[in-house]
Amino acid sequence: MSTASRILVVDDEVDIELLINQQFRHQIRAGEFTFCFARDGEQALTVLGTDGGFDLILLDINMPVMDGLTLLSRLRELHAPMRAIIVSAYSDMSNIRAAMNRGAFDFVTKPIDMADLKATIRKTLDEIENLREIERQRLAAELARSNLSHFLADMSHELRTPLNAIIGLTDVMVTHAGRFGTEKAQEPLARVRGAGIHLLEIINQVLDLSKIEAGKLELIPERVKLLPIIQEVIDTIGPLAERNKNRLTMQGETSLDSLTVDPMRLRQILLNLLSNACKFTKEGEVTLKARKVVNGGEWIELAVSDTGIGMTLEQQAKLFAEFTQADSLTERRFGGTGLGLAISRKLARMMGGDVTVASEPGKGSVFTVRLPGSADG
Amino acid sequence: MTASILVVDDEPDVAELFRQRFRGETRRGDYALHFAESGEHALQQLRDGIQPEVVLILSDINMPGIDGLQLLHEIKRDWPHLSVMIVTAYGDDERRLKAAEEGAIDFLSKPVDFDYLKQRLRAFTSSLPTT
Repeated sequence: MSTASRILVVDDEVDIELLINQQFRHQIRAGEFTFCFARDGEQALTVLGTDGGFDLILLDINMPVMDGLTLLSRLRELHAPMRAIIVSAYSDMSNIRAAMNRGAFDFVTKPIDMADLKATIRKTLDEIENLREIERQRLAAELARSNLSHFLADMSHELRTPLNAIIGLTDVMVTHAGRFGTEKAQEPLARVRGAGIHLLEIINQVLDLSKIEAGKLELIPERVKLLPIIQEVIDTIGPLAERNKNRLTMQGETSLDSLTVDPMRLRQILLNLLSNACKFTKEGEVTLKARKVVNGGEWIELAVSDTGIGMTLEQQAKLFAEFTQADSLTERRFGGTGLGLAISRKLARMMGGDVTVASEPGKGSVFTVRLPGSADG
Repeated sequence: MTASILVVDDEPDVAELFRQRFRGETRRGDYALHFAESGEHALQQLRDGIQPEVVLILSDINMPGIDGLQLLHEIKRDWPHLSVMIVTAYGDDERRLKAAEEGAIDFLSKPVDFDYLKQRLRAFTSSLPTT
């Protein structure tokens, strides 16, 4: 043991100090234990108030001024990080029980059996050491979590900053080739841009999932109008729908007004479902339908349906697990991390809702986001 | 009416991208873009006065000197009528929440999705009182 265990003896018997110092002289000399003495509960509190570094308290019950039971209650109120061993006569069992119920760790009876006292002290110190080890591990885990979340925030910043230049500059070279004289490099530049966007999606998804796993993803809900958000994601997804010659439509009940939701995360869920629908559908239809449902409370249902390749029940079962696409063939054909749906469902569940799927191979799929909320508030 | 916008970012790439992506809009007079490479520079320009008068500030967060969140705080304190959107490569909810609490009207992530940004700008300018 590196440092001496500090023991506070609280007893009004005058010869206790002599007895302890005599009986524990080897341990005191070896630097294993140090003892401090108080005559009653009040003195003990004074000692503890000026010096908090005690591991263990040996406590008599019957003392003048403040008795042992009162002191135990006070120690509990003070959340003193120590354990108490009661030292009292066997005939005083009802008080001993009362002390145990007030949080004492163990007891020895008077007259003191020194071998038993030594064994009890060692056992109690072991227990204290265990508790401290658990506390150390808890603090270390907390620090690791906090480091991880700072790391993720910084990593997100460091990864996206260069991508801003890569994607942004290749994009202007593609869209304004005349300005840059890049007409002949259109095709490779468009591929650099596509790869950049793909890399960005992966980075965003991996970071989001890490944040969710670390418990660091926080929703920031606000009162928003639903229809403009729907219109906005439809506008955003338009070019992707055109790429596979899909017809993109939206249907929103006019009764839908506003709901309380984190708009950025809602947009993320809808964009994920819509981009999947556009990716897995060719020359078909992709529809986003929003409606209010009353079913044990009010819900907003946002259904993304497509007329694409659809899925078997077996594929649907694996769909929301992380790092899986319906199968590896799908992954090769369509790309992606397979994280989007897992993230969407986790986000929806954090919002008190869910994402569910209904699908049939060859016919298409319907992904439904259901969120709690009164539509007319 | 031309909406005057101040873009605050220490990375020269960003100003370049904004110039390129808003060429049509600035030529048509929809927007007038101004640039500051630091929070201090932005505050100086606001104190000196920008013509036409700025209605919106788009600010990065991570910059040497005062960062974007501090800049947001000072703008909302000294020019409460001005609107601020944060445009950052940070994606953490702590900063997003802080920006919302300090009164930012939007929190956009980099790489900037210019189509989306333009959507937001149209929504913003159409909400401005016509004078």
